[in-house]
Amino acid sequence: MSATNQFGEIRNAIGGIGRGGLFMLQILACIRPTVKQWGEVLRQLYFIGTRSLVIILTSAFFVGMVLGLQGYSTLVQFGASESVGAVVALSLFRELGPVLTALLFAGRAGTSMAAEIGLMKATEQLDALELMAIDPIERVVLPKFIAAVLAVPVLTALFNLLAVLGSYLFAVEWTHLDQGLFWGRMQAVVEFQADFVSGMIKSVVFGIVIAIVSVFQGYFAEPTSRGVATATTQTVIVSSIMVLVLDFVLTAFLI
Amino acid sequence: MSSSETTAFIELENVVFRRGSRIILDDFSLSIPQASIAAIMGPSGVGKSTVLKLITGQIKPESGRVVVNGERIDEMSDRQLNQYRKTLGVMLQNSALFTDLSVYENVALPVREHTLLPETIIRRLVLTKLHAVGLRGAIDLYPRELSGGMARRVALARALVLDPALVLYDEPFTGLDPIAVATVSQLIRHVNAALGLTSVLVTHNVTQMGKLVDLACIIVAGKVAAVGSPQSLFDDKSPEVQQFMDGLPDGPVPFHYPATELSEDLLV
Repeated sequence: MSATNQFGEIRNAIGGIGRGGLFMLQILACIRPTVKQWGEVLRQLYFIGTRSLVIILTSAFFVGMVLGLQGYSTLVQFGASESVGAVVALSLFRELGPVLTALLFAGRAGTSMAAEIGLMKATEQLDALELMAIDPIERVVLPKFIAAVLAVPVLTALFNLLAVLGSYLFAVEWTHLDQGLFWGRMQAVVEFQADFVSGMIKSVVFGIVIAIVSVFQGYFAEPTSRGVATATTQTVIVSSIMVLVLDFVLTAFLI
Repeated sequence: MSSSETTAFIELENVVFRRGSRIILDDFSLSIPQASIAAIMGPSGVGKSTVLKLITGQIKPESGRVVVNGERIDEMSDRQLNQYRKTLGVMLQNSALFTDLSVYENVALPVREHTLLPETIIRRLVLTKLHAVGLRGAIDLYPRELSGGMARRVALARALVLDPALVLYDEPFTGLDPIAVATVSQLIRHVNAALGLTSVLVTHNVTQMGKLVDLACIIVAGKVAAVGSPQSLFDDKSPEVQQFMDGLPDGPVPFHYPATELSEDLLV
């Protein structure tokens, strides 16, 4: 790739972030304290949440089991197997919980939001709203955006819970580690502010990023089958990269 | 009815509109009288839907004026456009029904958004409009369960539900069976007369145009090729108008998009 092309790519990426930021301001300007709007937000929260719940909880349970297995097999060599609960909880609360939930959410709900909005555009439903003097951003985009922002931290907390349960099942039920030691070490090592809250801060940021990327890709998709397909693919790619980059940046600030 | 005899409700004056370097409307002027039914006709891709989009304010002309009911649409702010669109009913080319809403909810949507009417009144309004298009029994169906013709009739009911002052129909007869064409045609005529509203249709259906409209305009190459009563268009001797009215493949309006000779392409 030539230097001119690379410069063009960078300029496009920066331009995309700028356009996304402006679009977010446009969305936020549509917030009204009305029952109708927040009722729609709740409806979307239900759809987005339930759509993602199964994949996130199933993944969380097995991620917890794997962490328990890996942690135990390493720690037992140093005679520190009772610390497995603490190690699992720290990895989950600080990093794996927010990041994996965000990546799974982008793949499941983010693509679904982008495709739905993109298809509404392709089938002139957004035009129809505009022609009925109904703002498509307020009616279609905003409820999905807010619902996604609210859903990610809740799903992260549930991910953490199920993953800890998965590691507990492995460590206590399978390897017969004393459950008092499992919970006791975890309680002694994990700090609410430094570990749990910092992870939840990350999940809020990831939620905002995925929400804006998804609705932006859908809303500005080319109104064709290929355009919608591109929008869904771009949602996963852009969201995943941004989540991983922001994870590093946030960790540097929060650690 | 001639535009000079009555008040013009819609006026497009010397409108120029381009898509990229391609000129769609070139110094285009048209005047549609109040309370009339007007048809915009012409070969595919000639800019008929562009005229509707100019009237709804979805696009702005490069130059010229678009005036509806005395107000400059091309100079309106977003807020003003929103207010203006509350007085419009639009039936889009592919119906554009909301796929996650039932037929009833689709028709009720504009009423819910723009009025504070109680549910009982909304229900009566929606059922009345759906009854008029023959789909009162389909209120619980979803758009995926409707045929193309049924979807167009629901879209028509939705366009009329707030009794707008101006209704725009983009290809209202496409996909309808002969009975539905006659019913929709009759309905357009009926609501136009009963409510004194102005209707603009984009259509290729010359037969229905002849029966339904007061004024028709044929666009060729971005300009008005002919405008007047349906009878005046049938009597028009200009070759472009005759070709369109008689549906002739050969004539001044080319069937083929501009290209090199076929032999040049095939023998490469």
